[in-house]
Amino acid sequence: MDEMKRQLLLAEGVDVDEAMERFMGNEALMMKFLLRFPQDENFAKLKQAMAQGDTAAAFEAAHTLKGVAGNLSMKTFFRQVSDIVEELRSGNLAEAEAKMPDLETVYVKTLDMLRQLA
Amino acid sequence: MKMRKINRRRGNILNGLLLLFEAGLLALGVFLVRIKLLQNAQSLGMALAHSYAIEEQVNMNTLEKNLTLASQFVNDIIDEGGDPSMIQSGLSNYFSKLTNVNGQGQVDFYAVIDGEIVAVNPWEGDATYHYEDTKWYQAALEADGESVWGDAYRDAITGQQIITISKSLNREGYVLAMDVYIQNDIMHNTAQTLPEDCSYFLCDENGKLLYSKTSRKMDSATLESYMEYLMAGVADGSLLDYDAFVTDTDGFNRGVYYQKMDNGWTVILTIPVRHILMGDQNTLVYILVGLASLLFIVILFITLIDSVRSRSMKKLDDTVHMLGNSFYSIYRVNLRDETYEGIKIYRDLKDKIPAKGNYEIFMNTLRTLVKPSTYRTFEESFSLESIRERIAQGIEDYGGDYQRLFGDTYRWVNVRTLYNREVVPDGVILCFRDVDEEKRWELQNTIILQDALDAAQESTRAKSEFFRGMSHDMRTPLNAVIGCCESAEKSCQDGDTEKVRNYLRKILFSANQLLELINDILEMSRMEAGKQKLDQREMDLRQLMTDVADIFRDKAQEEGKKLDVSIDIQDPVVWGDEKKIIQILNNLLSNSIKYSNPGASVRLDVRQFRFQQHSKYQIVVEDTGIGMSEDFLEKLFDPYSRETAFTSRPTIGTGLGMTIVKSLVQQMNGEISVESKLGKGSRFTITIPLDTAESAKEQIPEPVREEGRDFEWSGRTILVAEDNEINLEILSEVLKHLGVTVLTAVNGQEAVQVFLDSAPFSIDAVLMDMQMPVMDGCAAAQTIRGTERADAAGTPIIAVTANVFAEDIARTSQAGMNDHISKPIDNGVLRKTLQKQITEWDRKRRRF
Repeated sequence: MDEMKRQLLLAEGVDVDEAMERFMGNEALMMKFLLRFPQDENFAKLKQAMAQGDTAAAFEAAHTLKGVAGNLSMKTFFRQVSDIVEELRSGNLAEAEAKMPDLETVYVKTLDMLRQLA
Repeated sequence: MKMRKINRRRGNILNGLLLLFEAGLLALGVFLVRIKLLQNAQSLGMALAHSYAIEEQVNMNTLEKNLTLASQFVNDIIDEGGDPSMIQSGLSNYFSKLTNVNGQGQVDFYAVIDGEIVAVNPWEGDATYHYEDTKWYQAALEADGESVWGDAYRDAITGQQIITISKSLNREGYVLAMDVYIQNDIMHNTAQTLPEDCSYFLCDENGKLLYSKTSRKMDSATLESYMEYLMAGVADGSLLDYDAFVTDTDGFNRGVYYQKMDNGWTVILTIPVRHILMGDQNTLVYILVGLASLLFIVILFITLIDSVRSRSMKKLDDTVHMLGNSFYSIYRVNLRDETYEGIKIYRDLKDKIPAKGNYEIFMNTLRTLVKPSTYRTFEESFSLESIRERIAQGIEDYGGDYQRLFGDTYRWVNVRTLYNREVVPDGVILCFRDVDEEKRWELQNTIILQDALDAAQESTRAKSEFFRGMSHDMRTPLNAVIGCCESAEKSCQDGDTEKVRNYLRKILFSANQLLELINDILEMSRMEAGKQKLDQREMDLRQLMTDVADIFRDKAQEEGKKLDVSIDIQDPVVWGDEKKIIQILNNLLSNSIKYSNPGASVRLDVRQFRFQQHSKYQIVVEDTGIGMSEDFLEKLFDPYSRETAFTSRPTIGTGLGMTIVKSLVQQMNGEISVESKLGKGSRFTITIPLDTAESAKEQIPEPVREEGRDFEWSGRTILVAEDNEINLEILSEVLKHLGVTVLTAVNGQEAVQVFLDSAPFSIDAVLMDMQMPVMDGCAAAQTIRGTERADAAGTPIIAVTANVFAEDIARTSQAGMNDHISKPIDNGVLRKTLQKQITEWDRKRRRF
């Protein structure tokens, strides 16, 4: 794996080694799935549900997003979205909303990084 | 667009309103015309009635004058002493003259002279006629010279209506009388000129019918009641309104117009309403009505057509709009004028180019946006000439992808020229669509495919090269064996046992070399088949290192090379696969010695890194040998690769060594890295985690690993239920990599369906995501467990969940699930869990 790519991924909190292990050492396969991440609609769904104050829908979207981020070994994103999932699980919509800007920052940066890699 | 919609709707409403207005106008027109016609008929009828009344009056006056004249004439005869016969002849003379002037049957004269009846037309019974009792006689005497009108009566003989006018004469008891035959038509001249279906009635002051002129056939009783009905209307004034009607005995509405005369008589005129409104022969009215109706129908038709058309236009318009949405820019290019017109201009160009203009300017503006490397092709393909050329060739849809600058990033877009001779004969539509996502996706897929192809080709190429090299490598020792055998045989014949022994040694050496070679190949194919297992046992790492190093130290010294060993470990006794570690060391050390020139030195460093109860051991083999090129370094661990630039002399070995080393290290969960410079030497670093003997003892042996030893993945079928596409595919990929057939479902309900659709016992395990739409994992598991199938209760269902709280785990077991694994997926845990559950299930289902 080329070092630049690796550094880009690591910079946005992607645990390359763990991901490579999950994808059985197949870098192309890993990249294929990483590049699918921007198409996942759950972030948009989460934002919309938050805006509408729909805690149940927000929880569902955040929970799925957590699963995806976990499988793609996006550690930073995973950690932040997990926090939001827990807030939503306890019904603390306001606290969850307060954590959204940070998550969005990471999300945007991750998408930028993936665009560079594409 | 919205404005246009509103306008169109407004247009529809306007059309409807217009139509209503027209209909109203038409109705109002008809209504007004009707009123006007009726009003006209009213005033005309009244005027007619008035003139008829005057005529009747004039007639009456004339009759009265005739009587007065006759009375003067008779008085003259009496005064001259004339006798009754002279009076009779005088009256007859007058009567005949009057008849000549006025016509026959209008009047009759008679007189009472000296107690006798003197008549112009004498009648039987005159002698017995008691004139003294009659009304006309008495009234005339009373009136004393004035004319007296009697009531109408029916003549006993003729049956005609008669009115008697009488007047006293100059002598006492003398009276002249005149019978008026009121029903004679001659007396009502103007009434004769009335149209056929109009009726004329004359009644006296008591309402008794004196004269009627009507084409309608009525018996006298009907006529009488009809007259009463008419007169009642006249009396109460209800027939004065212009729109007042009576219904005649035939059921037709008739307008009634009347006039009272000075003597109390009434003239009545009736005209059928239909006659007033239409007239019988009024074709003009028919034509006008026909035209108006036709016009109305035409307008109605046009409005309907318009509404239908505008509805289909709207559909078309909406469709085009939706189609247009997928393009960020649309232009129409006019090939004759060489101009363009922007139908939809992307925002970054709105300020730079006008909505319409010269095509060349348009292309020049695009130059700043199209990626410079593709602009030339772009310009060539979409110049007016090229477009014209394509049209000439009959190409109607043409285009391609290029990268366009949006802000400061390039995105893939698709540009097309669309042509249609019927619609726009001298122009094309130029449209641009953003295809960045799909293009990148496509490129990504191409790269993956290309990688796979390259890898396959590389592998094929490497294999064939390996076999080429291999045959050479095998031939060398075999040739040596054969050559030595021949030489040995010869030496035997010569009886030189020393030489024979020498040859035998060489044969042994070559045979060993050959064996080593074959062992390597076997090892390699074993590894490729994935059959190699770890054989863990307690061992002394320090001892092992020293032993191996000793073997190679002798060899190194033989070749004039130096081997230094440094071992720095605190826990030499570890739990590990001794054979494999020896194999690794053998390979690395023999390589270092093999690929170095005399005088070079080789170092073996062994160190231990303690990390909590786990220890990592690092083995470094470093040499000052010939080193490797960068290109070769990349392929070092690929099977069948050999560095041809290594050295000028033929090499011994298969080129499989490093592949085997890497595989062995990985099997022990270790890592290997290499640094090398051509001509300077190489350095291999291996890091392996090994449990120290004490900590290994504390650990309970893992049954999963034990069970997993002979686990066969291929031929297994696993159902994966997961709603997120990415997660589903990742899981599928991992499982497919193991050789498993994967069935998928995107929600619980689908999972149940897939399970029920499969043959019983064909699914080895179900991986069930907990949170899914339609039906969640717990419900799906419960449903599966509740079905009648023989395998419903036993098929392992493993929950895949991001919730690792105790209560969640409790829910999964309540739902009948066997186990759970957590998200994100850990391949090792996934394998172990599946192995454990499937093995158990294998044991159980043998009973079925």
